[in-house]
Amino acid sequence: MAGIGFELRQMLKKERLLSLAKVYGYSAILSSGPWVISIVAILIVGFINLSDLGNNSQAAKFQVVVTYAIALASSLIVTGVLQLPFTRYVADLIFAKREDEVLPSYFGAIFISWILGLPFIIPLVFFVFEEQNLFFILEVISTFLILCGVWISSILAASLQYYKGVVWAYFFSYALIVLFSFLIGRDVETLLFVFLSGNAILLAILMTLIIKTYNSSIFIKLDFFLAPNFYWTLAIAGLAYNLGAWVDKFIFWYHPLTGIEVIGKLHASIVYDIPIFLAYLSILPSMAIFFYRLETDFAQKYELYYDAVRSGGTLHLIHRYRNEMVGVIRHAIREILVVQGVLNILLFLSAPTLFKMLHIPQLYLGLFHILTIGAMLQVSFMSVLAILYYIDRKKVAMWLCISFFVLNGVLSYLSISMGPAMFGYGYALSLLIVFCASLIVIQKEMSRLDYETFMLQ
Amino acid sequence: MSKYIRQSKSVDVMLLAEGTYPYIRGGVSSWIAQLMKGLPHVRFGICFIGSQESEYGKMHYELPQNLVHLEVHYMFDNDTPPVKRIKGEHKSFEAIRALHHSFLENQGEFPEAMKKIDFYMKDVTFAHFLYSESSWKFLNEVYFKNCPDIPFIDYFWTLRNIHRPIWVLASIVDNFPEVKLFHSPSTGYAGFLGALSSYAKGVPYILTEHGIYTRERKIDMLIADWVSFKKSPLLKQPEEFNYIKNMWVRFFEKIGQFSYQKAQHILSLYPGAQKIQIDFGAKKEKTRVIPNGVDVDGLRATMIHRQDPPKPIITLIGRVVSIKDIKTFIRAIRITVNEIPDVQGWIVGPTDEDEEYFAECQRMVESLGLQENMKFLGFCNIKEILPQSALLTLTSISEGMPLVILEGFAAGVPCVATDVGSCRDLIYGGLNEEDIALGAAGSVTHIANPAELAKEYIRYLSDFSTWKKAQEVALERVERYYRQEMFLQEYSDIYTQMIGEQ
Repeated sequence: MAGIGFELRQMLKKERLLSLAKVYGYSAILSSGPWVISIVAILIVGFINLSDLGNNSQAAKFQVVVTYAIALASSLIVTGVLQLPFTRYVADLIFAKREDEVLPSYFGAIFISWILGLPFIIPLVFFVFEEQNLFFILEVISTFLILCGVWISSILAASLQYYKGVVWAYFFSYALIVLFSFLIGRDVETLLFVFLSGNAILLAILMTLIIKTYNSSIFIKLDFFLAPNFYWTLAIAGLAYNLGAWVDKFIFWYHPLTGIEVIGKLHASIVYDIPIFLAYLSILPSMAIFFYRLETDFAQKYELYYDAVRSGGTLHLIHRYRNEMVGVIRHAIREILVVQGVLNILLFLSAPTLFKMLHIPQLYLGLFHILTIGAMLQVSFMSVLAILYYIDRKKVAMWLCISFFVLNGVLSYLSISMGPAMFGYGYALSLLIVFCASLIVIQKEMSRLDYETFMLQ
Repeated sequence: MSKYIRQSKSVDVMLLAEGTYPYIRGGVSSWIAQLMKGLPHVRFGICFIGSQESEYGKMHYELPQNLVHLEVHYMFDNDTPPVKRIKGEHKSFEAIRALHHSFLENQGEFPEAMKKIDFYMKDVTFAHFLYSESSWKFLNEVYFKNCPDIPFIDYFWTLRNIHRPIWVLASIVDNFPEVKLFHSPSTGYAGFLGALSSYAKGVPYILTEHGIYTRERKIDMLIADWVSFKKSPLLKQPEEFNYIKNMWVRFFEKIGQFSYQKAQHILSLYPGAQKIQIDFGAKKEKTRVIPNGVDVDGLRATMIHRQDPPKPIITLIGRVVSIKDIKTFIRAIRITVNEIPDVQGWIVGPTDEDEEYFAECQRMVESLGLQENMKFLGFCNIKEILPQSALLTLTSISEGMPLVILEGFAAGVPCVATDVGSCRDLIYGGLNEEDIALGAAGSVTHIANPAELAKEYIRYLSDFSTWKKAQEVALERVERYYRQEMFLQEYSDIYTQMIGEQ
């Protein structure tokens, strides 16, 4: 017979993220968890020792050193460049039932973070701390390396849903840090040593959690980084987001009007640092709420949606599930704004008392207000980003992150020259802009979801 | 994916072979081979259209000298344009909407746009069809209007897959060498390509239909288990299946009509097919029957090896595939054995096309205890097989004009066949009154009726005079109407006339 054979059995080619790949949608949120925990701990260590050692003391130096080690080095490089591509790769591995490669890839990720980090941190440390002794310099470098490991491990452990284990590990090791720095922390070297040891313990616990989950025959594998399909858009998005999250602080540290030299060439900003860290603490509840929404409601609707797509639902049904996903997003964002709004009002009312208790000058109150609002916008922006990652819209997420970085840099710089009354407005305004933009983007993406799912697979 | 096996700047006749010569054996392929061999003065080109390269093995025919151009295209190998979000132009989809509308209404002229190659290459490009938002919107609109209750993914893929070749074909047209006449041995995509090329190049186009394409597609669909989502039959609503099936059938009917409209000659092999063509919308004055012919003299020469009366050997020449319904033949032999214990059933033809079916047939032979009576001989030279056979048989559920029946006749073998395609016309006569008056060169039975087949086998094998009478009719009929020279002469005349007109 004449005629050609047909293959109509073709399905959606990519079996999309689904249950396991959502791992990586979460990580955007999850990675912030440990980061916030560390900030809390550093603040506490600082406060405890501040009372002991007096102002502008060793403790302040310690705070700055650790902040730098986390902010500029480890979190930028590791959580920035590697986090999203790595978790995405792990999700792909698990989906492809190649679990035995997870562990080697995990070691590979730590290895790469060191390879990328060392050429950056060593010259920097020698440049910044040229007057410090070698022991101190070694401590800073080791802290950096350990922290890289800790970030990657927490992201992976949390992505594998060891939530309890991760929280306990952090609680335990940071309790040790706080306790021992109170007991033996006499100068910046000993404080740093305690911090380093505490994090080493944390890394050991997290690593144990991961290693006992997966078997593997080889030690290390760098495929995820070396493969031609390395998710560059994710790496750039992650880097830009983290640069964006730190650029305003950096500008405040080094601007002659707002920054002071603390140790070596490291700077800090007395006016900006404490309010912004406190503001970050205020967003913890919204992060928890959003994370919960993402994992329960959104994940459920998402699965219903793809199930309807793949197993023969009518277009009507597909539309309905899509609309329900939109409903969940709308609900979650509104929830963040409402909860955070109420919390902010409470904070505003109680801030004067709180500041008095913590010996923070009342001068910072205005700045604290606007930074809290900025932080609220940041968590909202981050939530929309998480959804964009979840539905695999890498490119547009990348552009949003880049805009955040550029806007925050430019506007923060401008805000300083406009006088102290405007401090913090640069950060808040940049987030207001990118958050609104992200809402428009997600609205468009969701309305195009069916089209892209079918036509552009 | 496309490739050139032979390439020439100009050809006289471009044959558009959809899933046939030179990669798949069968009636159409032999016909093409016969035509090229018989008309050595014509410079032929062949454009082979397949689905995926992996589905076709090596070539089964030695390419003749006068085949100067052979290009091969696969419709479903992944060479789609890169995935990209496109808006798509509203205007272009108005044209598609008009087209779709004319498809739904049964009659009517095809819109001009469809006949222009620019429509496919510029207005609505392949990328537009595949990726554009306007294309998506249109698809949604049609789905909600016509079939909002069927699984969308089935609808989506069916729609995409049946239309996809259109754009691949349009791009083939652009790269054709200089051609004087397009000739497609089927409708379907090949017919569409013929008509479109003819419009684009201003060159005449003729169509020869062997089987009826749309009918064979329907059978194909019943056999192939292509619906991607298997619901349990109890949960499946009948219209789910039917809408998509109807969409297929309508699509092929329409592109069939597109070829009918453009073709200057609509040829068929036997009067039954001609009637169906007219029913499907072919203009009667364009239609004409040119039966296949066989090498009568060569085959008759084999008769010196015959023994009279012949041993009770019944031969089925054909591929071992379900459309030939080999199992019915095996059952019929089982019944025949009751009367004629030493009857032999031979199956001559390749067994590798559908190995699962072949295995089923073998198991059936065993379980019916016919190991001594049934033989699968594989591919053999028919000039050795025919002189040993007492009867030729075909138990197919669908046929066009089976050449083997004529070959059998020429070698003095009567035939018992199912009533499909032109079997009735060949066996009882159907070309004209004289032909009918010649008498029966065998018998025709219902399809899938082993008892009826066995009854006829027994009738011929147990009464030599009945058999002898059928043989005489067979020899006379093939001599008078189905000589290869007559067939070649008719095509030669048509080619000369069409090419000469330019």
